Amino acid sequence: MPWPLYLALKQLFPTGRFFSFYSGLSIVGVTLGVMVLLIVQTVMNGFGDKIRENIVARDADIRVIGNGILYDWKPLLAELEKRPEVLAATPYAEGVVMMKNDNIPFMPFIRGIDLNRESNVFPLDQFLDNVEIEELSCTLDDLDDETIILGIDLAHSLQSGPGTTLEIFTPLMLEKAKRDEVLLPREMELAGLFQSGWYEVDSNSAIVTLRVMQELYGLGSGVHGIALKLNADQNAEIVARTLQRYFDKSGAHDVRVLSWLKKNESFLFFLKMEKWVMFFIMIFIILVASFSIAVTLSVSVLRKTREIGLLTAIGARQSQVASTFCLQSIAIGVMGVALGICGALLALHYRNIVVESLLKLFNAQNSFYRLYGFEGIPASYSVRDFVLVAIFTLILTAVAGLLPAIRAARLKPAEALRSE
Amino acid sequence: MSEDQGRCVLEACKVSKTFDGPDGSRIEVLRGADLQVYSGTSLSIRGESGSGKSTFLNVVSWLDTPSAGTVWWDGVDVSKLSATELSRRRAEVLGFVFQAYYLMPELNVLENVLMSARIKGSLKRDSRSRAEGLLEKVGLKDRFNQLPGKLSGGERQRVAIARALLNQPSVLLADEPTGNLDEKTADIVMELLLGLCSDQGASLVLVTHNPQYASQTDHRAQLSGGLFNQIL
Repeated sequence: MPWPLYLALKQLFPTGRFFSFYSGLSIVGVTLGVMVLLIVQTVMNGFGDKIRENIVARDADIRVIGNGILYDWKPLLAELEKRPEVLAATPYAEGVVMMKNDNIPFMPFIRGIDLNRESNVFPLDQFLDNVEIEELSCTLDDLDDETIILGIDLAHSLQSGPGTTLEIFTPLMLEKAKRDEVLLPREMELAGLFQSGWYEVDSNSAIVTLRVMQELYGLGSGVHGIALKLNADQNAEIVARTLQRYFDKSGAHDVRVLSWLKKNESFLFFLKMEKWVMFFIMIFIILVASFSIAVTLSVSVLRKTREIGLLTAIGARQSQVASTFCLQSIAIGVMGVALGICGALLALHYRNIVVESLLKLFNAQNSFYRLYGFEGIPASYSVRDFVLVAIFTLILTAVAGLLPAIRAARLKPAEALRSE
Repeated sequence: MSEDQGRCVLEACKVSKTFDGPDGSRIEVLRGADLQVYSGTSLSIRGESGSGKSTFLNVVSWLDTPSAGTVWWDGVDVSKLSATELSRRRAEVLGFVFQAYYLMPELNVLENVLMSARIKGSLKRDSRSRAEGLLEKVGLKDRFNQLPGKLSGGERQRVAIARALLNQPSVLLADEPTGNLDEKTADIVMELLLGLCSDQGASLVLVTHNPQYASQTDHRAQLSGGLFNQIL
């Protein structure tokens, strides 16, 4: 073993002691920094993945959206269903309405569905099954042109229950009003509830038949688009591009083709940015830890000035003296990274126990999980993130050792030996 | 001193050393000092405090560069050596014993002694047995695994002597090695130092205030006014 490495390790782990106290503090600093960085990154990855899964689960793989109302949609639907990539397709119409129960108004998103096709594209049956309130659970068979299904949280906000009749006001009323015509609000009885587990959806969505939606929005026989479910081996983005090229070339239908990725692009970009912003913030923990290494080693250079003089006297080169301190810093970094990775893996393994204990302590269990629709804290381990954090930390800790190393190398041996 | 005593292992020729004083004045500590040390001989340097004894040792070992003059180690002009070559030659030719021992507190006694071989790059299987042999000779047979903090001053200095001699240097430079020791311990250390240098055939340059220890060396030099006034 080269002697600078030997001496560096001896200064970290002196003979007769487990480790040097000051070096131990530096190692703990790096360990905590790496741990926090990896935990945050892994949980953020988990959040991202879960949110993507939720988006895929509640949304179609691809939407073929008309540039305006699609009146001639039936041939398009047939054409799409014939394509090998497509597993199922369903027409839809959707938009915002005002809904009122007694004096409680709300402006939810309402979706008109084809009762025979919807379940092939969206897991609506599963969402209906999720409702545990017996008198408000229903199936798609209970939905007709007089009834409506609400998201569970929307129903709660509207204080609606079994037998509630809701008044629906649509933008079409404004159009009629301009022509001095009056269109009365449509009354619809609550058929039941659905629960997707996604608060944004459950608190802001309602489902009616396609025909009702066509009437509410004055679409005639038109729809807004066709939602597609692809075969499992298909990549939504690639298929969307292929379809778009096909429709642009054929010119038969004036449509836009959007994959779920494209449709939620800004949201997914936000998630990605959030992860990197968190990474950027957490970097400062490693910076502080590296600074503490630089301070510890600088103090060490000061304390060991005469020993540094002696090393030179017995034949050490300046570069070797410098590398002793650099190697100490790198060794602190390596141990900090190794312990940080182990600590992060351990903390992530027991994350749900820790978080549940904290939530119980603050009595915030329900609201936390309801908000995100997760059963626990998600985590997605990324080897890339682990490698990135490890390399980044090792570089920073090595740089932290440079300043004290240069100081040590610049000491004049005679002056070092004379120092008090 | 004359050349019939063997080859010249260390030579200083018209060595001067000047420092800047705190008030900006020039302090001339050495003013062209000449000295030759021959193989296998011992030499003591005496002088008043501040006369430049330690400075002379630093200059001839090139731990400090002289303001003027030339230093030869085994016939090699030190000023002509590159930094790497200087370090290598220093490890080969010179051994050091200081008043304050300068042992590494993280290393035990044996590891401290072996450190000089590690730095020289000559750590081999027999280095350990050689280090143990030296430690036995200085009376620390049962203290190999002790940390320096657990040793007395005399014991620490004996470890430092063993460390200095491990690489079998041509010259051992001892800067007041008994300065921190009581009289009885100092006598033991001096006896060891002179005996081991003689056994190993190493030359000894001893800086001391003690006339009794100086009298035990083959040659005696008196440093005064930056020059060796008297060499016997």
